[in-house]
Amino acid sequence: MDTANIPQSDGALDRRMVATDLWPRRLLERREGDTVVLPAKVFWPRHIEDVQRVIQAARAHGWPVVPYGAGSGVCAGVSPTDRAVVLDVKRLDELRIDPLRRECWAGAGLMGERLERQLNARGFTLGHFPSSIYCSTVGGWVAARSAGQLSSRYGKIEDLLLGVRGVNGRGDIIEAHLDDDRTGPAALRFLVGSEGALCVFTAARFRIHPVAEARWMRGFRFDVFEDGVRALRTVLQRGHAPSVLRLYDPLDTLVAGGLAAADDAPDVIEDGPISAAGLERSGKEGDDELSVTDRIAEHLDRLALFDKPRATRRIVGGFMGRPLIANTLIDRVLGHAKLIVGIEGARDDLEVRADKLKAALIAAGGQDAGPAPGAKWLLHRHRVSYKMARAFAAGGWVDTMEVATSHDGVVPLYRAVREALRDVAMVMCHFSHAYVDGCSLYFTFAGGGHAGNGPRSAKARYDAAWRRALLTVKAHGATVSHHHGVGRSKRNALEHAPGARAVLDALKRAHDPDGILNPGVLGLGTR
Amino acid sequence: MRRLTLDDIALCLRAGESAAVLFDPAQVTVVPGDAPCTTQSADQLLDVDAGLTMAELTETARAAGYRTPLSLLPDGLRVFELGWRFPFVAEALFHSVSAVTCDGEPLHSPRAPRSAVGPDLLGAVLGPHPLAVATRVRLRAMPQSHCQRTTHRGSAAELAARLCGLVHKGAARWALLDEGVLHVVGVGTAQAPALDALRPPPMSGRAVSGSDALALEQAARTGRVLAFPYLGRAGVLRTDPGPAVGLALPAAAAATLVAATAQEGA
Repeated sequence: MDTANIPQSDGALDRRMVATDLWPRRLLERREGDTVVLPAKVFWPRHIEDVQRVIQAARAHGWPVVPYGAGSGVCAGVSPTDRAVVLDVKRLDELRIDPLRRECWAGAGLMGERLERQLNARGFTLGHFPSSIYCSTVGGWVAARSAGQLSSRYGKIEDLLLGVRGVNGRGDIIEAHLDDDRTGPAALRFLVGSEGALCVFTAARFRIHPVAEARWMRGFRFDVFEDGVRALRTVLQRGHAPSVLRLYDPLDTLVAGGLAAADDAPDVIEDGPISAAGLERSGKEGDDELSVTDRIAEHLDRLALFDKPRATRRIVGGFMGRPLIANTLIDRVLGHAKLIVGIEGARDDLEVRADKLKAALIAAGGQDAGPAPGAKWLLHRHRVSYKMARAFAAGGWVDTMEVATSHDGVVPLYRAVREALRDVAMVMCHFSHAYVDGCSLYFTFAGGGHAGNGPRSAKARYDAAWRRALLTVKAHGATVSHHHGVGRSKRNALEHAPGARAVLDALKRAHDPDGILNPGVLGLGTR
Repeated sequence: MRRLTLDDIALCLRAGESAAVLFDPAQVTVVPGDAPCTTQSADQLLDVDAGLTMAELTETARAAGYRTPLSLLPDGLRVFELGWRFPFVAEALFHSVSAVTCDGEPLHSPRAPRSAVGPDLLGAVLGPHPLAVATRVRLRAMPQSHCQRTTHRGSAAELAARLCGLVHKGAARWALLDEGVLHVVGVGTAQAPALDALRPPPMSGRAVSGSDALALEQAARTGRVLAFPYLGRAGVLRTDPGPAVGLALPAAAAATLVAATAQEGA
């Protein structure tokens, strides 16, 4: 239990660096001067035995233990008390690749971009590209059930996972594997998504894929949004297996820069996989990076609704604090929806596959918008993770909610959430993780409000938006999270039948009988 | 290093219970209700009673216009046993479940794709140490009108490599590698029969990494390899009985279980 030789710090700056994740509610609080609670100490374990020793010591002393990867979570999964110790796992960054078996063991602290680059150097890809790839770790992906931009082909992180290794709250080193005869896949399925409440992951075993030879991407315009939703289902159920399949609702289409009229520019089959394209550039700023307000104002300018462009921006900016008016205005001027599709593989196959896919999307009501939308998306696809601070600095707030439901439920849920939030936030949505048997809806809420705690304050509107959104999601039988996790921000929305509750409580007791691991996340151990 | 076993969890579920009986699948009865199988056509799912046998399910699905690869498994095997004896098949095909835990309490896993929030409750009905008995299951299936089957022949190494490629592409729904023949079922225009039942039927199954051609080749030498390329999953069907199903039920809960499952089925 001696932790003296493990790298550690009780310095204020070090503790501050691991004290929070990116939960937007906390950003709102900090903007208004609230202080951040700092943990008692931060440890940087170098190997699994270091993790084991810290947890054994924590158990002996009753310290809460909070695992920390890169802090990119948005659900208050990292929220240590002043008695807690934080295990920052970034030094657990070893990577072992087995090219023959096409699998790898990756340390929990390995950052996504570094993992992918090292795999690429050996001719492989993980196929996992969350927009946070520059600022998230393997351990965080597994803990929160991450999904990447190419999930339609490669699946979510749990689909790529073959096994995990970690230390549970008893201080035991544990492993679980998909192909373990003694447990079947159950043990692994119980640990994935446990958000640090059952164990601290130290490494994960993934299947890996050869890097694709070539890629093809194209945009499609749907004048009727519902046709676009149906097209997602058709493409997947007809076995087209795209790597990228993204549909943006009309407002999200507008914010993302709109879509030109039909473009029958010839197909371009480019060398290299979608996964690598744009990785160098897509995190950098560009002069076409406009805010939500700017995009809407630009669109209104094109429609010549107001006389002067600067006036339009002021008007739209003001409407952010008056969401009911803003939403009514937006509904009147919105147009089409954008769909981006991409496939990758052997160059010989791509032309035939592309022709079939294009035909299927046109038959579903899409208009060919050429290769430009795909190219643009590749360039910008990782920027979203860095936009949030700007919205807060401008006096507004923004947050995202990712849920999942059956194909039949997509449009009713989409409409219901927009309606429920009509007077508290502007709501846009895109669909970037679709499957044969359903789809994820990724809502973005943006709003304004006064400082303080009054009924028209930003915090009150933010809380109302989430409360109403989650109630609507539950009423429609959808799940409250698809790939961000639950953390502390959504735990009250979880409802389990008694049997499910008993299984979850039993898991917590089995792995963490003293309740020291990330107390409060997922609502585990709170009864 | 200590290997994780579900016994730890089962022990906690049983905390405080002094009397326990050994779990015997033959003693569990899930009574099919009035609607043994309904279809969720938009999502290509079948909502089935877990008391159905593989033979009954195959026939019911066929009548509803759907195919599954479950005709490969023993005719008398019931849906609720699938997760215990062929966990990799259940993991791939079970979209969501309603179940009763060994304490006699209801459990429902979320009904959306890739929708587990926190620990995946589907784990409670998977593997040789189940924590619950499924009473109703949503199964992934394929409309018969979409099925197209192709057959390939070659050496074990060639076919394993081809199967590995299918998993990498993620396009086919399921594939069977059996004694030098690879059957692939995917979306197509032709109407074709699903895979026929095998004799002798397999008795157990375990997962294999679908990206590992060596493991697939080795598995093909010891059994038949069944894969679900569009889900990135594969496993081997074996004729040995596999690990014994080992959950111990509290005596009081056993009666509740039968009653609850019968009620749920009705």
